[in-house]
Amino acid sequence: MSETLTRALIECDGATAPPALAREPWTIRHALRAHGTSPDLNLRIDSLSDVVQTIVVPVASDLLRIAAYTYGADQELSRGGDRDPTDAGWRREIALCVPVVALDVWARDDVQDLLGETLHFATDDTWRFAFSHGDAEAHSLPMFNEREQLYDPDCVLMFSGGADSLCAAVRAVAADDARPLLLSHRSATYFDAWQRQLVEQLRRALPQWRFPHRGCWVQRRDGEARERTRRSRAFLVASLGAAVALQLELTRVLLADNGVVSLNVSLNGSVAGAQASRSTHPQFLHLFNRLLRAIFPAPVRVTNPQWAQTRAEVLSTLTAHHCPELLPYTRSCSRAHGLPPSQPHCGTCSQCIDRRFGVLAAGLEAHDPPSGYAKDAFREALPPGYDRTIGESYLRLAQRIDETPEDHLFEKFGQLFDAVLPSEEGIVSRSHAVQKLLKRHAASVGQVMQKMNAQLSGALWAGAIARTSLLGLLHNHMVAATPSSVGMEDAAIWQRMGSQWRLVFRGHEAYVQDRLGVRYLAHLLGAPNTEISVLDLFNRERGGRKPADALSDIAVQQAMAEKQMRSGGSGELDTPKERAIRRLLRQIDALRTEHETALDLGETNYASTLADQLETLDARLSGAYADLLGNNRLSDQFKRQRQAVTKAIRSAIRLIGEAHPQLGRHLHASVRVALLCSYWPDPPVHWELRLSPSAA
Amino acid sequence: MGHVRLGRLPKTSRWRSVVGLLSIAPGDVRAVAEATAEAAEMRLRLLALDTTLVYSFWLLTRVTWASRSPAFATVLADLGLEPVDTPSPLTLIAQLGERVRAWSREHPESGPFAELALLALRRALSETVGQENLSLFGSSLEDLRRVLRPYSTAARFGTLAKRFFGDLLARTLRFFVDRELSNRVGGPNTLQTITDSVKFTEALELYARQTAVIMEQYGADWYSKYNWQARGEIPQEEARRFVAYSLAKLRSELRQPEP
Repeated sequence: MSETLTRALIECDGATAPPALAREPWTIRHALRAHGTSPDLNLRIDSLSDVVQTIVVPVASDLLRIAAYTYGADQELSRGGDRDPTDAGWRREIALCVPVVALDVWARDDVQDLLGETLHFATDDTWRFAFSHGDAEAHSLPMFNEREQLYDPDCVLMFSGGADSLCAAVRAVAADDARPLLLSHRSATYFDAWQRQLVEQLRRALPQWRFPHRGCWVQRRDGEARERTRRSRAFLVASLGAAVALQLELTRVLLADNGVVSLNVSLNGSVAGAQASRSTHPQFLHLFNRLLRAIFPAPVRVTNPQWAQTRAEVLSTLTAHHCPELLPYTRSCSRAHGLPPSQPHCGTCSQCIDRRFGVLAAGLEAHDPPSGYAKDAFREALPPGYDRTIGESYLRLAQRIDETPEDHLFEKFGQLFDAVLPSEEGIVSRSHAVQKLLKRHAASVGQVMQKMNAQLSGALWAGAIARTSLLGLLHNHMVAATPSSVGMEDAAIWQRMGSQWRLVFRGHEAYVQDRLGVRYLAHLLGAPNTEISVLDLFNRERGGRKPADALSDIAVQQAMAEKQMRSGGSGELDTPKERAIRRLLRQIDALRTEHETALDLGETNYASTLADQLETLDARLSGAYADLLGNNRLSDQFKRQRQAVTKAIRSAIRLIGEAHPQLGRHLHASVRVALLCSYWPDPPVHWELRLSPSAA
Repeated sequence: MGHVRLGRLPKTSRWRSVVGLLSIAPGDVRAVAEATAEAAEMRLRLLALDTTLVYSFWLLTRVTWASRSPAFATVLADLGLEPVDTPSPLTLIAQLGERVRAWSREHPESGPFAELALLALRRALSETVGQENLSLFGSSLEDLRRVLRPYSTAARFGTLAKRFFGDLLARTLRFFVDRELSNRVGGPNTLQTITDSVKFTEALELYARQTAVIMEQYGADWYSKYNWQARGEIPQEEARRFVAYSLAKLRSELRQPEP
């Protein structure tokens, strides 16, 4: 069992875990309540004030409560944050104990398996359930049952207030003659207010339908969520739609997202599984519908009407039905909270970037101008971190899709197989549609970049486009570079300042922490085009050595000097003896790794055999070094010191490269690290070395 | 594009060394791969014990061996792959992914690497289908059996093992490197444009695949020895040993200086 795995037992609505479950080694045990005097969750469904709410069909009420507790538990349990590069805490194991009214349904193995499978796909977590008998009064959720006062809808449309859900509503009414009930998950009053405003505008634009709108409040009562990824929200939203549809005796629930968002192919290689959300993924909806078939007494199906359309194609619905003026009332930004109403989009989150590309591709920029975004990602700098990664990865993914032949997309982007759904009909046509969808998206991104390139060519020429904007990332050589400091263009300074070094090179300066490698480099830079033995470097920076060591070093250097004379002073390791050493090093490394693995696997006998082989090889290596240097006594010392110096220099060059890429590149190209180290700048660079520590 | 959760690299000296290389010498993919493997060494060692990875590879051995049987579909059903109305390479590869995901649901400790293992399995098979000029979509299960049958010999199984581990290694390296790569594109960096970062990504993937060439012979030898003993039913325990030592070989290979 992994030490970082979160295993949480969550007891909901006063349920008690069965003894066997409670005895398991949980790392967290927690209670969640939506009722009583101090509930943790606010769970409430809107109704008309003059209509008495009725108890919903028990299994639908249960589904919604389970979904709400899943959502609550999801936010309670941290996935470990974004600083662990291995994401060891990303997946969690969560057991929910929930009282339900329709216990006979929920106790079935097939139902629990489907529930776990559906949630696993949406969240990557392992979900287990312990259902107990719930009281019909205490554990039911009242819900409206006012079909007539809702103008007799014929379907439920999940309405987030984003551009995709708006377009789905427009198309349903204007093209399909449907009568959708708009249903929203409400989690904050801010979102509630603009959702209502958008619905008002929708009613004006399409007066043929009244667009009844209801919501369900599911939110944490207190404090910040420990986990903000909220991958279980997909299940909550789908459950809400299904429960309301069943209550109103409807069979269709529309959950709209354009096809590219729905597939949500990993933006880059660091995003795995549900780290890219799967709220409307075909596989998720397939699993969810299987669950509904297993638990509901009547057929209810959740579908995504936009699964085969790109964002631009979805947005063109507004133009086709003469209501593009609705677009400014939609909100797509995932970081909108706190932004002014005049600028409701941050401009750099994944939703904003995708929205801008979609709007530009659909020719709707007049209704969604750059002024509505806090940052214009096409021309302003994207700072390192989230913003730069989203922007750069978005373009990189589109370019990779564009370069991949259509019939190789499944091979290259293996996640696409998740959209195949082997047990359903029309597999081949759906798979082809997925391929074509991605190709159209990539082409659309390319067209938008060309369009912006032409539109902003004047700004490009004038140097008014930031080098790390989307346009700057397309052709960096055309945009202006601004030196970080003035008057330093020709200076090359390597200056010790207390515990730091100030490095000035080609007009830029950087500061790096003092470390041995930086000091070794100072020696090399001070004597360009000169070979210095690693031992000499080692001795210059290591004071207080014993006299015997010093003598040894001198002896090694003499041996090295003779070697140099014999090999013509190349400093390269390329004699038969040296090649033998490299072969031995390679064998030892492979054997050592295998030895570690044997120990990891607990194969002690095999590990012991490998240890013997390692010992033999190590002895042969010492002999080979002694043979090379002509001196047994020096070989071990030489091995250690050579390794320490070369590693320190290479590491320092990389760290300098992080702070000052130009200098890092220069050093990488001109510093040679071998038995003899040297600095060969081309063209020559005159370094001003200030080596005595001075205050910063 | 939907919601995306992005991670970061920590500011330890080993990871900063990777970042520095991305700034100064991204063309040296060998050095980037080596530095990444060094910084992520502990996780890579733990990967050797990953049950979902082992299960994915074990499935590869079983599906390959199943192609020897005329009752291919029946043997696949024994592995938990339900018969479907229109079986094809596409549906089989999709179903294998579902099996791996069902397994990983029972083993949450695998973390995101379970997904990488699943994708490596899909890649090994879909690449093989493509290499043999078979269509993922329009071919039958019998066509797939015919194509996979030669891969149930030791020599050809080595090729499958190379594809599996090559893709796994590429994904593992990108899992770490892509946390920082975007920050090292544009501005004063060596990677000036998106085209450069696309080229770097492809070079890194290619390097990973080339590194996994050592798996071809190792995989063939192992398959020859143990498949013969087990008469085609290699136990998961044996697959576990093979995966662990394969990963050790790959880590060691990444550390080797240029010949």
